[in-house]
Amino acid sequence: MAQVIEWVNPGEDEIIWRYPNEVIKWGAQLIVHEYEVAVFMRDGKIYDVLGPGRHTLTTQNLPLLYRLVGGSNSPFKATVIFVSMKQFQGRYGGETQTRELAPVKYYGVYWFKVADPVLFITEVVGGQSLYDTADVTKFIRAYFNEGMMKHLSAYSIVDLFQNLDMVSTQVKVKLMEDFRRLGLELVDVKIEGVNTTDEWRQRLFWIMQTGNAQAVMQMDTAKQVAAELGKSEGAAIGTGMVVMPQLLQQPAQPAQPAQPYAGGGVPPAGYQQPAQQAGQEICPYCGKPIPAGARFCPYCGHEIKRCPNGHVVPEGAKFCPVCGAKIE
Amino acid sequence: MGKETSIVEKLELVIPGFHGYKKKELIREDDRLVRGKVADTLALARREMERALQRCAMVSCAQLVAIDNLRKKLMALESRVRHAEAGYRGYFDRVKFKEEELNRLLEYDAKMIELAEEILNEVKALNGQIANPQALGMAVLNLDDKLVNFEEVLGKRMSFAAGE
Repeated sequence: MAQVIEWVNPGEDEIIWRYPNEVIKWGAQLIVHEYEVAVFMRDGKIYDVLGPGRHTLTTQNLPLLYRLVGGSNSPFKATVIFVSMKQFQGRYGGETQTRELAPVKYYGVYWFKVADPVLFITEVVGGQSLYDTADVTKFIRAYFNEGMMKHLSAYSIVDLFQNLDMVSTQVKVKLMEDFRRLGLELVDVKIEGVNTTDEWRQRLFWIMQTGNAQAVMQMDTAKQVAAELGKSEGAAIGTGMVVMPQLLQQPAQPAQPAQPYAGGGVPPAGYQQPAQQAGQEICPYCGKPIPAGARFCPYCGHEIKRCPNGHVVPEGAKFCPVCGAKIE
Repeated sequence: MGKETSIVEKLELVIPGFHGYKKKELIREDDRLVRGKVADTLALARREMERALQRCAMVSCAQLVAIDNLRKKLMALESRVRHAEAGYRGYFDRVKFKEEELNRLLEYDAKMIELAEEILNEVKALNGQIANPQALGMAVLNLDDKLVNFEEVLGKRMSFAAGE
């Protein structure tokens, strides 16, 4: 009976499988399914990559030699490695920071498939008998983290939350070559989630609200100074009177206007999120633009609270975080 | 290396009751070869597209995501062509596939070769326009049209292969 070599029931994440028996009979039947290829090795060399179908394995098809080496039952040593050509899914995740040094955590999914089975086996798999997606993820993790860190750090935190698709495409393009070098093809990369600390989430709101990251950072500093001054009773009033007005001054405008950015790709280093259009504010509840002076958000219906100077304030605030006015 | 029929195949072709079956099988193999050629051309176009993507990322062009979407479309078409139906019918099926129908499948394949070449040329044109945003926008739209044309022909072939 002819020996049948076939990869039966491959696991969901298994990329390669080596046929365990290296002693192969003359005329063994190799069955390759549509979604896989078989790499045939003899005498330690890769001889052929066999596509879908049924193949009869012989060393040479010369009848004379066939008899010389011992007839139909004489075995020869060969290795058959099956490589699955379907798409696989891997996961990644890590931590980095944005252009304003805001800490961000990211995680997501990537899809890949084997593009060049011979390259993949020789460069990555080597002598292993089984190789799955977890192994590839382990192998490629450093490339992912490096790519993510490079691209996320080029974006401001606001842009990052608004341009996730662009970031993931940029990362994918960067990683394509790394994957190709390993005989793999990176099909797609998606960022499933980006997260930052609570403190930075609040700042993000105010950056979106005022369109000026510098002013928000200055307010943060003022708050911290005020908190510190509050600890020393005697010095607080005097020092506060000297330090606070300076801290609350509007930051000087840059001499050169920020470079315009047409969108797409990584924004240039000097790029700043343009301030909101005149006559528009941001709803603190849903983040959508609302008309100036609106009492209710037209999108989420929340009541918009304001300080006496007309700045939008979050619910429950006792003082306006922009001008410091007391809220009744 | 050659594509001529082997002695065993020649014998099979003269055996009464078997030669019709064998001839159809050979046409199916031809169909598979032609489809393979179409898929390889599309794969070439995809690689060219990946080059375009990388150049686009280098100059931060606005069409990056659009080009990536076209690349995915191209990938899907490539796989669909490579693993398309080959006109097999079971013994008890109401609709049978004879030589004539199989030859029609080959005609569809020939049409797809032309379209795949056009797609490849369009991708090359797109690659040359990366630094020119306006022309790039047009090139993206043209390529999208070509892909839609190809998809239509492939769709017709699939319907025909399904006996519709």
